Amino acid sequence: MRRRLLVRHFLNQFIENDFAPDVDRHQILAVAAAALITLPLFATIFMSVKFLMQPLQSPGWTEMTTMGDQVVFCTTSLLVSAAIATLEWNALALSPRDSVILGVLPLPREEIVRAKVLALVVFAAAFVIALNALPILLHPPLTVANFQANPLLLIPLIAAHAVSTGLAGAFGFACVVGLREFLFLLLGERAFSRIGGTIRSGLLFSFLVLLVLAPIRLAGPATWMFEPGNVPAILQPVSWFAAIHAAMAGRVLEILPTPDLPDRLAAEENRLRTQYRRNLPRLTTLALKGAAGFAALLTLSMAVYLRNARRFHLLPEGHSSDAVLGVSSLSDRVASALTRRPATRAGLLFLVRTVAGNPSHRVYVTAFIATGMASLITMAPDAVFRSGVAERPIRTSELVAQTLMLTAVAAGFRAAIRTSADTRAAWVFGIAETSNDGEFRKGVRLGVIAAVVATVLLLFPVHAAAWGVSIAAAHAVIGVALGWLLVEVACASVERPLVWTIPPSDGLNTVGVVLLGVTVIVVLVLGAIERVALTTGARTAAFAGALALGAAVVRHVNERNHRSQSIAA
Amino acid sequence: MTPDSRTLEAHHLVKRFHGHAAVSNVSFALRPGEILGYLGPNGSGKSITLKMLTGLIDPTEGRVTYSGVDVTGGNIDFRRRFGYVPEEPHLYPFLSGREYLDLVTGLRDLPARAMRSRIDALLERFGLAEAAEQSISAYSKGMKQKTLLIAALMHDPELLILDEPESGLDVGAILLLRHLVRVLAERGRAILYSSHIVENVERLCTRVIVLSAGRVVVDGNVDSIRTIAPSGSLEEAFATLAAQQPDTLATEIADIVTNHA
Repeated sequence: MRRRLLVRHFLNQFIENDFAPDVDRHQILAVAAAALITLPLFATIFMSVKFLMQPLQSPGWTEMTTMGDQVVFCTTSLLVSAAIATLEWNALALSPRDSVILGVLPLPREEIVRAKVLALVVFAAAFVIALNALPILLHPPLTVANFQANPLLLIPLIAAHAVSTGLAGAFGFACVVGLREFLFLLLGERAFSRIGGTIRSGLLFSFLVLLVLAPIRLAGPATWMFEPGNVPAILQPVSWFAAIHAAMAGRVLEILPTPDLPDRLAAEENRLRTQYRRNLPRLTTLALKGAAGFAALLTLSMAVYLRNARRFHLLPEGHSSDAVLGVSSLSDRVASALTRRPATRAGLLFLVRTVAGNPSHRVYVTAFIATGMASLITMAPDAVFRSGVAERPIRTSELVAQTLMLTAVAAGFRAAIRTSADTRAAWVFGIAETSNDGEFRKGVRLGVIAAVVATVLLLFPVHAAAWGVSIAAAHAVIGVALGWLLVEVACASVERPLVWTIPPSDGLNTVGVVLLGVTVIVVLVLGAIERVALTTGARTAAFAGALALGAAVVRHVNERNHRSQSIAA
Repeated sequence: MTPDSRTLEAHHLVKRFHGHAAVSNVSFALRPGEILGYLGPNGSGKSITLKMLTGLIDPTEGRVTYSGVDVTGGNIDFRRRFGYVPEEPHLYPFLSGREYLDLVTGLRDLPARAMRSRIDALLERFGLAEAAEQSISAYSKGMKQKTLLIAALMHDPELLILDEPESGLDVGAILLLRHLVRVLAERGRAILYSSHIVENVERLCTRVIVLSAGRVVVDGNVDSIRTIAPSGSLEEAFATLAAQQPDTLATEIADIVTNHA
């Protein structure tokens, strides 16, 4: 009874997480739950279309294609679970608050720890099941729909899918828990509480970038799994779980009937089938390695977790900043360099410190920047990965990459500044406010512009190495002008950035899809214009000037609107 | 265990953090019916002592006994016997006041039905009945403090450990708390009352321990401590014992605020 009460209480803590602000919590949870169901559903149908559209589907082709799909499913399950565990960072272990409240009750510490571990396992399992349920139920039947095979064959296929993606998800979750607990043990309570926020942000950023990249970079046949020695370290765990699927489902796929195929297709089918059969024992070995690796990770993580839980940790929450390290001193210097006005400076510093120190704001900005980073790598792989100036025309997609990155940064900051740092603490702005709150708003906007300019500067060496300094410089100038325009658009209608007492709602959630489509079209058009603009210095200047003029106009309109709203209020 | 033997004793408690002693050699005894004031300026080690007594943190040296039994580092039976109000209003913001009290009831293994009426009555008396179903995140500091007081009282503890319990309470609630503490002591409960507000301790406590920089600088009754100050004021005696010079400090602060150099 008491155990159940504790487990239920700890499960509540996973839902009432620190990354979701109080005012928007239920909306965020509803959107997250809907995404958890619909995104895997769409992804599964999208990935299954190729099977349904294959009029002469053969077992060999199915085996190889399914193996590729399974790599994507396992990667997604692993990364999404790891990202969720990172979002739950503070709820993964007993918090100082738990220690103070529960530590004085007549409960053995072991019972509290057991309940916490059980809640952790239940949460992870429930999440992994919810994430993978629809792919588990839909992908195997759609994979073999053309064969009109015995329906009982679906059972091992569904089981294989469930085991491989389930273990991948559990592995991702356990990795984060293990890493957190290992760092806690290594660094100690005080140092861990100082750098925990930085580590959490870094992990979340990495997982999100990989999550966006994975389906694009890993789509297609996963023949690399046949050479375990050549599998990149980052893909090792994924290869284990995809191999578990092959080991369980491979022999079932083998017995599927082969249709009458034209000679060319028959030869290809023969090659694929031979290749798969020859490598099946190797995949089985890889699967066993995966099972052993998973067991080792679980054992190690649990051992460290229980060791850390041997005593209560009472370091007060907020004793050390949860902020990203070094941000405070850096933002001080940037603010001093950019502005001398106290209210503007206050706005800029408040933005930087809120984004660095407040989990929900950090999640917004990190998620958008990670998406931008993934887009950058996807759209401009040559510019990012190949150094040395190439004698080749610059593709529009490469130019678009910077625009997408800047759009992501601006959108991330818009999401952040529309969220109140703390509705209850906003009173301080009410009483400190002078007659011109535009100065505070200007400071916030300056902070977002600084982030956009920093993004352009960080990309400059990459572009310079790929295209040469002159084109990269011209691209950077256009980037700064475009960034300014994006910031002005992003700050539109945000009258009281970070200090709302009533959360604003402009219906953007409902028109989000339309907005995304419009953004893609606008970005492509801008890329095409920029390609022409980069041909001469005069055109570059004209394009950058036009963008800057646009930014100035949007700013003027925004300020006029804010002033009229202030007067009306 | 006889009623007379229910004495809480701190024996030479020491707590060091990274070599620095936050509490040094603190010893005292608290008997049933006694209200022991635990006075000290901020950072003097009051809360750390209380956390050692409740078993939330282990002392570096020394031990805690209750009724002669060593309860250092916590003891399930001992935890059933005390109620604790922490210095910070640690509560789960996502629960309502009633949900929090229900949680504590369940975790203390108290009979739910009987406790429900007791909780209702306590919520009513503390003026929280209307807000009981509201989320704690919407509570004022005083409401949180009242919730903590109810949670500490509802199992009728033999011993009450109160760490600055008046924090955030309005005048009426402070008066209520003072009377409540007095009545509970009269009914044989032992009360350890930590505070930095001298007036509260002066009006309530039969005995006072003054802590400064982690050390006990005086342990005696209120009247004997008053004699330390020439004016006979406990406040001045406390300032003298805690090595504070409030008048000088106040002048310095006012100089900083008013001088616009």
